[in-house]
Amino acid sequence: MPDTIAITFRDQTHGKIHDFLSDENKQCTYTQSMMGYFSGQLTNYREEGIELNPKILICDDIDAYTLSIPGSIYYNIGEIENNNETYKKILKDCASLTGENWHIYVEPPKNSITKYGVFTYPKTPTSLSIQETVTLNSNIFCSLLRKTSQNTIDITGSKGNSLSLVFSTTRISADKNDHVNKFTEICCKNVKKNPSYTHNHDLAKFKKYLEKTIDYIINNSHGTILICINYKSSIEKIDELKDYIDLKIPIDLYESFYNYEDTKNAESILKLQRCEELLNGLVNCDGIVAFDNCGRIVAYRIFFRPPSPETTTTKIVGGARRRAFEGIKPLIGTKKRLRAALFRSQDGETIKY
Amino acid sequence: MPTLQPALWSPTTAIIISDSVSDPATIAECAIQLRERERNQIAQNIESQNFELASTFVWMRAMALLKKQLASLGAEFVGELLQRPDFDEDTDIRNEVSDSEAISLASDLGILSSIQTMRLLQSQQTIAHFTGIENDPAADHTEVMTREEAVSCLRVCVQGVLGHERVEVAEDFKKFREKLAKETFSKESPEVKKLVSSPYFFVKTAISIILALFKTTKGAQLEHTARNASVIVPEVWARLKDPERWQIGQTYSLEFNEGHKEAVKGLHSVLLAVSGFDYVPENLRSNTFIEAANAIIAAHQGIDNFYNEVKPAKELANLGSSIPGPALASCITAVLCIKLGNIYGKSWAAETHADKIVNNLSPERWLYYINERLPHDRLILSKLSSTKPQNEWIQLISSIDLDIDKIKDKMARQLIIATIKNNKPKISIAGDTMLRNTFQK
Repeated sequence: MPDTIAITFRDQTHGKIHDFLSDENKQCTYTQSMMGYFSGQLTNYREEGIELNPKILICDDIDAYTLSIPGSIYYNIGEIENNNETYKKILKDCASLTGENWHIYVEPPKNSITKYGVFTYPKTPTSLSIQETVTLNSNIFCSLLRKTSQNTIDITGSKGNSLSLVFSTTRISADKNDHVNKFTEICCKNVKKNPSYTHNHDLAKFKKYLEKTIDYIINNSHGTILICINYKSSIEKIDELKDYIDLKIPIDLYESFYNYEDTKNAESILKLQRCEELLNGLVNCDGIVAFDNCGRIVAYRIFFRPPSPETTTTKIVGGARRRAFEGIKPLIGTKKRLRAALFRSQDGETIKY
Repeated sequence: MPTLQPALWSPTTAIIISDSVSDPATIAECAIQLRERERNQIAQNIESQNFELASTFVWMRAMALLKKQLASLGAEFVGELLQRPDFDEDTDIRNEVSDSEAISLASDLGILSSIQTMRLLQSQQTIAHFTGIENDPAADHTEVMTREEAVSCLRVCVQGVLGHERVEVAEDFKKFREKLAKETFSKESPEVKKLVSSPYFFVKTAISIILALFKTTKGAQLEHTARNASVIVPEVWARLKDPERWQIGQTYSLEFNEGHKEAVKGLHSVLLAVSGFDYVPENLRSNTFIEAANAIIAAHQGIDNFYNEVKPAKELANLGSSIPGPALASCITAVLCIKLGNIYGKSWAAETHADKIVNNLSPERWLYYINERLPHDRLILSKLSSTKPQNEWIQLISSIDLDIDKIKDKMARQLIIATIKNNKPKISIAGDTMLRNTFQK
């Protein structure tokens, strides 16, 4: 009689989480199985048909964790005895309460009771991100689980260890953050030519901000391509990219960022947040989004049209986005109009060219 | 407290000119920072009884030189020492630092001796008053500066600033600051041992230096700073007053919001070691209060203070009645500047706004100020022996229902008891003693 074989990622996932927990000095089978469950659930967690992407902090002592974050607050939602339904109930009770600013915390069981709830802290455009806060206090066990692409769950521990669980069969390239970092660096290369530039601006600060913003936005996208064009040039001059929507007045992230930095008032922070929202919207549109290399967004819904299909000699495997990225590559260079491109596939692969 | 060890840093003891010299020409001759023509003109103007003219010129040159030297330390560093969160590296020290802030800071850094500091502060009040009269049509123009006041101003400016070839912070201070960022101390290091047994103002200044280094250094220097902070802060934490503890918490919060992860990690270890997270403010709202309070203090110490205090006083009063903990000490100092005024009176218009703030201060908040700030508040202590500010002080403090038993500082308790009993000579003695203690090296 023929056998039916089913393959799951469970064994591999649990094995790697076990290693991760050992490195974090946390030997707890309960925590291990909880993290395994949450990792699987977070890849495609839905309620009422709506996709939710909560970040989950598993922490021995939520009081100690929140103490070190200025202005943080948490609400205890429940205390539950361990059983087969515990993890499910935690997600059911808390996931719909979370969003960009609220996150779930779970305290591993003490006397077989698991405490859980939600927490938040006031964030400014430059403040530490949630994954950075996890590593502030290495004396307590603390791990953050967050979805960073359609099929990737990143786990960060308080002792600085990290684990990426990629639920995919494709080969994973080098560090994603490195690609975003390099792309951002090119987008900031000529910020001194930005009309808002003054000599007292700390450019490293803007670069860090832009990197965080791009990273956050592409993590929440379904895949995209970002390109960086020389500030003196125009998309119009590139034959392959004639189909686009020009932003007559560029969205000047640099100007908005330093307006906030200089004034620190409510109006300037709102303006900056509105710019970020708009960038998020542009990235979620079809097509490519273009930055210039002085920190501005100059065009969106850019579609790549090869001059003649016959000129493509190499065979490209992948969808339209991948084909467009491969087609753009020859247009990039220090002497050319395009300076860089950042590709993000639907399954989370990130490449800077 | 043992004070037998040599001070961590101290001013040079070179005598430029003796206190007994009162001939303007002889004193002016020693002002080597001035051109010969200027020296002659100063002496001639004093001889011609143009006291205000000569004194104002001498004063402006001395302050410009002093501030130039302070600016060489870096604006952010100076901002940390003065607890001025509005300072950044592009702040112009010459415009933003008031004369008395510059004098007080110069004293803390070993540029001026304690006696020069007190004399300069006295001269500053005199200069500010007479310059204000010239600009105020409503003032009594028959009041004029005396020869003694002009000579005294010239002498102390020469002794402290204009008579020195180079105006510099104490050599030991420079070395200590450099070592904090270049070496890692242990509990047994001579610098740490010396600091632990030093008078409070050294500890206070050392904390400000460490926090300034957290904000300005990177890489290996930041690592040294963080390790040194982990050694030094726990050693002095028990002695630290609340304003300095808030200062550490405030820096943590600020660095967190700026996203400076390595600095935050270093400060986190420090706060964890001393269980100091109660001093981390929830937000940076206190900065707005501190800035408004500093604007009042700057106006109070400047020219035309009675007129210029009104606007910042109104701004502070409009910020709301709930003053955040980290800003409380600065706000009460600012309010007291308005309420006590100076030897010539007070600003009635500013007082209306100050009263709004005073009415919202509970006795507990006054106790906090008396315990944590008053013993080191040079600005207020220097007023308590002058008749008009003293009378205002008595009237204000007597109206508050203070629990004397909760005053921890012995001299502060004596001062408050004397105030309640309306014992003016004792108020002067206690105030002067406390003021001298703040300069004790």
